[in-house]
Amino acid sequence: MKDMRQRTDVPHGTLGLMVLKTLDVLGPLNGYAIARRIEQISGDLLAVNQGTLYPVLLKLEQEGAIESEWGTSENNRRARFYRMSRAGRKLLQAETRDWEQTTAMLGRFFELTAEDLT
Amino acid sequence: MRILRRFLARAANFVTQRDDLRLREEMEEHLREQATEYVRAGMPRDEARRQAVLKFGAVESVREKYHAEQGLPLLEELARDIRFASRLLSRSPGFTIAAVITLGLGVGVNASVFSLIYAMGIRYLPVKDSASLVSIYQQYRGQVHARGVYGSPYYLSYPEYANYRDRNSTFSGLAAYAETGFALGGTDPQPVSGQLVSCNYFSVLGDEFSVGRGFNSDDCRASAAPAAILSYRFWRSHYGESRSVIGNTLTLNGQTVTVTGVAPAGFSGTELQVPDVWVPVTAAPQLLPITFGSRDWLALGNVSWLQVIGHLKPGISRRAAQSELSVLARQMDAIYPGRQTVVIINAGSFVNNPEERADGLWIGVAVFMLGALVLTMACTNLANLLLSRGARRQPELVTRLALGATRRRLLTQLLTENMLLSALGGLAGVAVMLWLTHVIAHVLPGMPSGPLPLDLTPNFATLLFALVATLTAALLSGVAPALQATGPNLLTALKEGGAAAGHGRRRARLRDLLVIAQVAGCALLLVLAGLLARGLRRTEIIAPGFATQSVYVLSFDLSERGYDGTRALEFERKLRERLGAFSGTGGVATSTVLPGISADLTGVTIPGRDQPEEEVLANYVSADYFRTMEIPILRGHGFTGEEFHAGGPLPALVSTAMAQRFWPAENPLGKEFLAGKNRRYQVLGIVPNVSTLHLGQEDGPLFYGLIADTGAAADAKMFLRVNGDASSAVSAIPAVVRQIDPNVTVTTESYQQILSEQLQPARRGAILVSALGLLALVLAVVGVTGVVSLATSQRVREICIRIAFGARRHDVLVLLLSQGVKLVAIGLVAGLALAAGSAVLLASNGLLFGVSPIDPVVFLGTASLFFCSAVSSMLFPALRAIRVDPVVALRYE
Repeated sequence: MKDMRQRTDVPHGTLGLMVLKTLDVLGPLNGYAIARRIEQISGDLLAVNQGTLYPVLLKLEQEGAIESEWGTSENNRRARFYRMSRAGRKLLQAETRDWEQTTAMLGRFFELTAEDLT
Repeated sequence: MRILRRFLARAANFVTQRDDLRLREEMEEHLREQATEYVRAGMPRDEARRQAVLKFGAVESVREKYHAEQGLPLLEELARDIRFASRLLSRSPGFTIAAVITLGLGVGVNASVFSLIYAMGIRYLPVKDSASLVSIYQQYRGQVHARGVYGSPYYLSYPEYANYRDRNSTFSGLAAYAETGFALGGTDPQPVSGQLVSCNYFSVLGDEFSVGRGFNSDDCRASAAPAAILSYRFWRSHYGESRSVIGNTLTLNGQTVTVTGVAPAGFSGTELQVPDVWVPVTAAPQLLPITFGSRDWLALGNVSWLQVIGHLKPGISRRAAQSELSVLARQMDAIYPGRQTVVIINAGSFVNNPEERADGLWIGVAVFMLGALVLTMACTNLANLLLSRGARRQPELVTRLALGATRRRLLTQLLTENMLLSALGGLAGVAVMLWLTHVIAHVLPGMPSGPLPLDLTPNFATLLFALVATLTAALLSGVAPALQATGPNLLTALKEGGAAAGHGRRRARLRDLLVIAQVAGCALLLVLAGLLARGLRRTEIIAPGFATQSVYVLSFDLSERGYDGTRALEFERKLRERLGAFSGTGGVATSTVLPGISADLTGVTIPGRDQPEEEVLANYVSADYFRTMEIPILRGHGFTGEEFHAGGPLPALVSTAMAQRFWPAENPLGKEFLAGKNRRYQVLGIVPNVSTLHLGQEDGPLFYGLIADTGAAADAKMFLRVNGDASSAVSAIPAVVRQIDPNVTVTTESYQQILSEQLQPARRGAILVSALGLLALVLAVVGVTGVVSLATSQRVREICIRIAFGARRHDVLVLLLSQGVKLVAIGLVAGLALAAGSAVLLASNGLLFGVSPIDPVVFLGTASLFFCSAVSSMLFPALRAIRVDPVVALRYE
């Protein structure tokens, strides 16, 4: 149980960021399509517990970062499509910058050797 | 911004109770697409569906998270808890009613006290533009020249008032008034309350009349026939609202006044005692009962008798007005070298005299403490109720815990229940407040002129106070029982089974502590209430230190008849001789002031000592004053009559307070002092402190001089003390006066009646405080009964075993009672000790009016009253317990 959780729980807030990036690159998608893309790109991360995507989508929508409406899926069925909003684009830019800074900084720390500190 | 948007969306969903239909549809579509993809990859249809579901994860968990994100889970939980709690409360109405009443009483009493204090000390006077209305008082520094006081030393004289009124630039109007009582009617006079008011009084305060008009400048000429304005209430009760009242005449203190107008229905003036009649201040010489050397009140520059109120001009602060009036006061001070007048400006509320405000603060604090104690008692009761309820509900809680509820969840639920209960209690409290304040303002006895003019409608401040009191009560009473009920020993209780659940030692100890605290608090409250009530009562029966019973006060119109000091002295001497010759006369004497109501203030210095002048009280009397008023002479001797023309220093008797103030380490007898600048006195003897200035308050330093040495005899009062039947002596007085001078008229009044009007506030206070004490007693008895009956019912099994094994019922009864009695005794001792401590504190602030802080009557009375009611309240459940048939009870268990 504990094992599974470690493997599937997405770091806090990153799932939302992935959704935003996916929508930004690929345009409007339904829930299943978003899940598939994230799975493809992130490997195992969303291989199980795909359902956790839906509360995150709702949160982003309630925050105004994405919008949704009913549409028709590839196999001609009713599906909910999610689309980036202007606020979401801004949010994505800000978050991306934050992550880049953080990872850059951490990267420097990981490269650190004993000699660098003496 | 994002967070706000999210919150608004969630709140909207919460309100509209949105469901998760959309999610279910999306999930279904998701699974279908996933399954389709698996099928395309070659999986059998059933297996594809199964794998899709697996990959999706726990559907219920997703739905739960989705739901939590959609709405406001905390609020939803709360709503559920409230629904649950209200169901529970309505299922045990007995408990709910008891709790709500207890809380309602506690909160209501406190809120009432608060709204009374608020209405008297904070809320603006109920007049037009009250926000800009201020009151003006004076205080003196430095050398005080002999100043007469009628009412309070902080009041102003008429020239002082006129100086401020005519020369200020910060007020749009300044009005003055003096409270006084009148005797209405000629033959069988009735007391009515009245005010002498400046001519502009009504124009400053609104200038509206039900009928007629206000005072005009003709009414306010000194030579004018006095005019009068009636209160609406008086108009209704005496004239049936007849509009033809204008022009009618009334007889006040023997003077004829003409009605010119009737005040509007809502107008109650500026004092708690609503006047029946307003008369122009120019009528003071004819109407005021006492005089200070001269009847010409308007010319007396150094007598405190007028209260002043005024409207500040727009934009003027109290500070600016104060500094302007201080400059004007300096010009008055120039007449009295060495004196500095301090002008005090307070916002216009009922209690605005600095003296009253200082006293009122202490009384307010004392009553508040009593109120807080009552609330604490109510909380303890509620805590006990909740505690025993928690014990009875333990099986339910244990079951819920076993079924997976978290401790936090149970705790929130219990607290919600408690909050709901408190909300009901708070509402009950507001109802109690509305009722109680109404009772206090309208129904309490002793107001001749109707209800107190207080605006007691609830406002933001009083409701906020009630809310805070309720929340405090809820927290105080609810948290400990809730923690206890959900405590970590809950699961062990499950193993022991429901019967033993309430038996935890910690729980028992907490309950014992509560009982002790409650008994202690109640004892404290009862003792304080007893002491205060006794103190207040004392002002009524014993206090003043001089005789009031069977004493009659005779007033004459000597100055109007052209008497000067010497002739008046002669007149009074003759009258005293003749009245003294009556068989029933206990004594007859003259005095310049009415002790208990007024006194003179004089600056005193000691020759040869380099000390600033000090302000002391003075009373000028005839030689036999002390015998007549039954004031003992402690050391030295009284006035003998031989000093009259001795030429040396004038004779004086000083009070113990004065002796201690000026000659603490010496023998005061024979010492000399200067009163004012020019009169040299020598101390003949020492008399005890009495209450000359205010009833119920012992005077500071005071000396008595002979009236013959002052020239004020024309305005003196005569006191006649009668032994036995007074009516024949009193009815003979006019004839005796006529024999001496047929032109002089005399008015005779019972001294006690004059003084009793001064005691109304004290009497009301005593009733209020006793009521609080009784309320506390009821709460405490209810609480103790509840606890003991619970403790007893939990011991039924033990009792039955004891009885089954042959214990006598009598022994079991003793066993059961001894436990409760022990708790009550501990609590009582603690409470009495606390009470003694607080009483010493109260006594040092002069609030006990001379009652000893460890007054044995109050302490023993409280202890026995409490003990009896506590033991009898325990007896009932104990007797019930030992009557239980052991076989039945054990089988049930």
